Order: sequence, then C-alpha cells, then structure tokens
Amino acid sequence: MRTTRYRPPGDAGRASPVMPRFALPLIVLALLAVLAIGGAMIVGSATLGLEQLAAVFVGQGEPLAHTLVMELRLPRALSAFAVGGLLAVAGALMQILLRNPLADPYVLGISGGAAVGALAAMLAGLGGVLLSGSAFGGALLSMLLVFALARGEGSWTPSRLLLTGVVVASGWGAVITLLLSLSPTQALPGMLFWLMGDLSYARAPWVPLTLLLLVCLLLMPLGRHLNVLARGPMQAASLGVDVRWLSWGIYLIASLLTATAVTSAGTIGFVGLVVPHMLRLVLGNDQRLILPACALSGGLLLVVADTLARSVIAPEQLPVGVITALLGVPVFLLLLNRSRS
Amino acid sequence: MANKAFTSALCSGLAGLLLAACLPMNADASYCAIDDLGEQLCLEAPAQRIAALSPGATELAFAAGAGEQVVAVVAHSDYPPEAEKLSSVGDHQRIDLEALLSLQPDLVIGWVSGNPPAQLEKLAALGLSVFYLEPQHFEGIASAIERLASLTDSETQGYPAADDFRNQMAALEARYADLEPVSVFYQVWETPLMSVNDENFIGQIISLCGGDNIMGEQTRQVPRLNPEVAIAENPAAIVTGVTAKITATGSSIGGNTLSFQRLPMIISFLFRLP
Repeated sequence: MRTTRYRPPGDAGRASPVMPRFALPLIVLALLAVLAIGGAMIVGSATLGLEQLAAVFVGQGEPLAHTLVMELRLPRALSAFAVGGLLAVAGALMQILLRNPLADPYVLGISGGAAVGALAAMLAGLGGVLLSGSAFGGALLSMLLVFALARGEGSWTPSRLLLTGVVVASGWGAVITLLLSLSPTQALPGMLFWLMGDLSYARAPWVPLTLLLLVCLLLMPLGRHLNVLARGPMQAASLGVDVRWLSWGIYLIASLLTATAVTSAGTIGFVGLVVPHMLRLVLGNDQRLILPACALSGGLLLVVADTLARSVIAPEQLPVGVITALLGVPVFLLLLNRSRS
Repeated sequence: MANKAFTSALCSGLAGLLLAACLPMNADASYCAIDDLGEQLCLEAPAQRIAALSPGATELAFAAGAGEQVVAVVAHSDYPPEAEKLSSVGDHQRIDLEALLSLQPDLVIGWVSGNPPAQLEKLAALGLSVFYLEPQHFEGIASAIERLASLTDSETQGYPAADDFRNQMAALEARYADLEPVSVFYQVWETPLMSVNDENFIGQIISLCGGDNIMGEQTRQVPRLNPEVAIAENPAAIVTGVTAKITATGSSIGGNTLSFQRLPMIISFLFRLP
C-alpha cells in the first residue's frame, strides 16, 4: 500500500519514451543471442554443412545429422542460454540486494547447498532425476537456512544477510571437502565432474528457459523499486518502498534462479558476477533495462563459451567455466578501463 | 515338502542342462552378455564398431580378439600400441558425444565409475547399446574378456585369452602360496601419502604375489595416510609406481633408519594380457 506514494525519479508522467530507449540494446542483444545459438548449431566436432542443417530443421536430413543437431547441439545450446541468463539475472539481483559489487549468485551458499545435495545423492548411488531433485532440495534448504538465520527483528540490513550467507556457504564448502575426502575412490570422478559445472548433462532446457522468461516478466514492473533499492535501503524506505518485503522477495527469486541453474549444469562461475557489471558499464544502472539485458547477455556469453568449450580442442572437452572467464576477463577489463577515461 | 522341493530342484536342474545343451546349437542365437551392473545386453549381430570409453576397456576388447572392431577410444588408451592410432572421443571424464555418435558405434563399452553417468544414459537414450564394465577382481577381468568375445563373436580368440590370463594368475598364486609372506607398503601417491587396501586391484596383486599389504584392512580403497602409520608398521618392502620418490617420503618423517627398497612395479602383471 505504501508503495503508491512513491514516484520514480525522472520518469514521472513520461512512461512512453522509455520503451524505445530500452528497445534498441535489447533487440541487439536478442539478435546476437539468436546468432550465437545458430552458431552453436553449426560448430561441432562433426562437420555438418548448412544444407544438412537446413534439412534437419525442416524435418528431413539423415538420421545421424538429425541426432547430432536435435538431440545434442540444440538442447545443449538452449540449456546454456537458459543457465547463463538465470545466473546473470541472479547475480544482478544479488548485487542490488547486498549492495556489494562482489556479490554473485553463489555468495549466499545456494550452490554449496546444491552441491552437498548432489554429492550426497551420488554417495547414496542415486542418479538422474533423483540426483537433480537432491541438488535442488539442497539449494532450497540452504536458502531457507540463510533466510531463517538472517531474518532478525528490526530494520533490514544487507550486511547481516551477506555475513550469514557467506558463513553458511563456508559451512557447505567444508561439508563438500569432507564428503570428497570420505567418499569411495570410485565415486570421486563423478563428483568432481559435477562440481566443475558442465552443460553436457543438462537434460531439459525447457524448465530453466520457462523460469527465465517468467522471472523477466515478473521483474519488469518491479524495475523502478529495484532502481531505488540499488541506491540504498534508507533512501528506498524514505521514498516509500517496503524494503523488507522487496528484499526478501529478491532474495527468494535470486535463490530460486540460482538453484535452477546449478541443478541444470553444476556451478558455472563468472557469468553471474561479471555480466551485470559489464552491462552497467555500457548501459547504465537502470534495472528495467539491466535485468532483461542480463538474461540475454548471460545466455549469449554461456552459449558462445560452451560452443568453444566443446569444439576448441575437440574431441577433448574443456570445462565451460574456463572459457567464460577467458572470454569475460579481457572484455570486462577493457570496459572498465574505457569507462574511467 | 522336502521331496517336492527336491523334485522341483531336479527339474530346474534338468531344464538348465537341456538349455545349456541347446544353446550352442541354436544357429540364430543373438549375441548376449551380462554387464557389471547385472544387466543383460543382447545384440542382433556381433558388434562391428566398438567405442571403448576407458583405456582398460580398450585393452579388454583387444584381448577378447575384437581389436579390429574398435573404432573409438578415449585419451590415454596406449595399449596395445594399435590403440593409439584409433580416433579419440575425448577424455573418459568428458566424452565428446558428437564425435562418438559420428563414428556410429554399435557397441559402447562404458566404465561404471569413470564415465559421467549422465553421458552414458544419454547414449543409451539415443538407442546405443551400452555395456558397463568395471571388473573388481581377476576373475572379473577374465570374464570381461569372455563377455566381450561373446558380444563380438570372437569366442575362439577371447575364451582362450581369458583362460590364459586365469592360468597366469593361478601360476603366480601357486608360486607364492607356500612362501613366507613379505609385509608390503604400497605407495600410490607421495603427497598426500596414499596406499591401497586389499579390495583394490593392486592390493589383490600384492596378496597374490606373496605380499602382506600392511594397509589391507583399511576401509577405503585408496586411503590417505599419515606417514607415521606406514613407518610404524615397519614393512619389509615398499613398492611404488615409477614416478614416486620413496626417499623423499622417508626423509620427511625425519631421521628414521628404514631402508626403503624400490621394487619393480608389480602392476605390470595386471595388464600382461595376450
């Protein structure tokens, strides 16, 4: 109710000119994302010509080409897009929520909880859906644990949430190390593979894709509140935003996004930390633009990185996190340097 | 009751005998074997294009007489030397599924604990025949050779090879059975110090060859140890792989007077397949 008193700064009474200003970068990013997914269809260790590819998409083509494109490349590229988008949006939300530029989707222990869930399932000999379920359950457990511990009476403080999350994350880290050192030797390769993060086992791209779309739609009307919250909880509260509700809402959404991403592809680092910063350097810090742009560029970066990871030294497959960092670090440093001058 | 049970046991026994007698004569029998997960895999025709997803599977396939049919291997498949010339489909922990599918294998030999389970499940979901292998003891190796021979219709080569392996193992056992056991510490890795227990293949080989593995009773197959434990047991011999530096471990304990003896790697017996 109190939020009705709040008028967003700068935009009062002129809502319409905002759209074209936002549309251009989003359209460019969407086109790039489509190009990247198209590229991921073409590039691979098996060489497929464009005619073969076209034949596959109109429902013809030889069975092998069909399997390669429809069963391996397309689901993997879509998963990469969804996971990258989820991580970047979650990272952007965490950075607003915690008012800390070093915040990433994993900082509050979601990935640690998911990893403990996954490793425990592997120790119990579970696989497939049960394994994903256990990872997701671990992530939710961690989310609720941090929520319960950080939720004090009195005013909302980002530092309390951050500290609680970081300590819980360290706790999960210790449990992971303990599980790894106590597990039977033959279970270790599978565990390490999961921990490294990889898109080759992402199964159903539709779940993360749908969630990404839903969350973008959900966050759109919240953009102005988020803009105010990014300036600090005190300012937001003085402008009539219900900081407590908004903060916990963001926390829950970001955690859910992270849990889904980690369950789909393990802990892929870097995307959630750096993509939001890159976009802020280029597009400014308006959350109404940054959040959908994060969804598109996080996805874009991970599709490109995964395509390279599986083809650069094929048949050897690189961990995708290596490529995201190798691509992202120079681009980010370049942007940072340019913005200073 | 007892009588009835006896009769039914007799009947099933007879049926088994009859079945066993019939099977070899059945001309259009499919090519079947039970893998190390206990699942039966039947092929309509003997496998012609084999993808071996562990270096061990490659060796076993060659030992089974199906080396010619192997079309895909993974990194580090260096034995027998012919295997090095075959197409690699990546590391055993990260298989390039695309490269693998492009080779159109009709039999994939998976490694139960070494390959990512999700990747093997994906291959099975795409309709490939996946045969899971992970021998746990010498008999498992021999039977794996036989089972691969059955799937590739090369029993005439595979079965004698398996028997030859069994005979070699039996000869080793006979040679060392009556000798006084030598207490052995096997060092897999130096920092951290790691050994093997009796369940592990290396541990089994140590026992077979007249060794008494001082870490045999450990609960984990590859226990991580404090060097003091190894020294306190005072083993008569320390065995290690060629890359490990035994002397460094000795000196790290500080001033001990144990004389470490570097013995040849026993593990070479394991892969001495015909």
